[in-house]
Amino acid sequence: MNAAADASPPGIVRRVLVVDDDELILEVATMSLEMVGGWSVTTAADGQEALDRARVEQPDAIVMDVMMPRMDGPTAAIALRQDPATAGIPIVLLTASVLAAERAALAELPVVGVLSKPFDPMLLPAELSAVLGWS
Amino acid sequence: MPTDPDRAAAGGDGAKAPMDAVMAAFRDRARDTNLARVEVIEEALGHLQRGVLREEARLTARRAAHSLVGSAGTFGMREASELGRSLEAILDDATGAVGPQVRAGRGLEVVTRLRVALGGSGGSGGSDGSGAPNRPGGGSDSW
Repeated sequence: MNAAADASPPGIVRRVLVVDDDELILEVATMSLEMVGGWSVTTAADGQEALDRARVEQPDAIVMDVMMPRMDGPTAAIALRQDPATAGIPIVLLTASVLAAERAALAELPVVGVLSKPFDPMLLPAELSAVLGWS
Repeated sequence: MPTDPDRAAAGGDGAKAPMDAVMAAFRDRARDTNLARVEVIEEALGHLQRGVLREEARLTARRAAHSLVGSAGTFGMREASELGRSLEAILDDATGAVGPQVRAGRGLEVVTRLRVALGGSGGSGGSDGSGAPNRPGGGSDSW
């Protein structure tokens, strides 16, 4: 099933900004969301680059790692929400943390959801669709 | 730009075989990247053992372990991912209940196992001894 594509309005490709400092994770997430989800993906390597790209590209959603150099995911999420140009873009955080306290703290941020790393590339689009309400 | 129905024709279940090929190609690169992270962690643990670990180096090693958890797991190296979590905890220990030399010793033992799990010292790419990778993310039967 192509959950993401099925949920998109006809003729419109969802545009997702994926943010991670791990180049390989960026590549595999991109392939997952494009090949399995049928979405259009752009990438950024840290929170600061995400802010810059989001203002210009106005993606339909941002999927962002938590721990990154220069600007981490939580800091970027708050900045994106405070900027009128990006305040309406839904943000999903990706984290490798399993600690309950850390997960609870992330859930308090202005994000629509928190997903776990490692992720299964065949399932990531469906999981994101569910969190974003796209399915 | 293609529409979603265009992409759907090549995506969904039809994407499994191409994704399998892509993941296999990525796995070797991920192994090399994660072995480099192990080097960083090992150096920090050596400093911890000698009582000269600076906070900046501890945080760098902790970040390396954290990145390894997500990367190794995503690329099907489940045991390596779990060992990475153990190293995160060792590098993160704020309780002070266990002395630094003991923590370092435990960490270095984990590093040895981690290298094997990553296939960096005679081990296989997978972590179950079969030579095959585990499914990524501990998830579906799709990979």
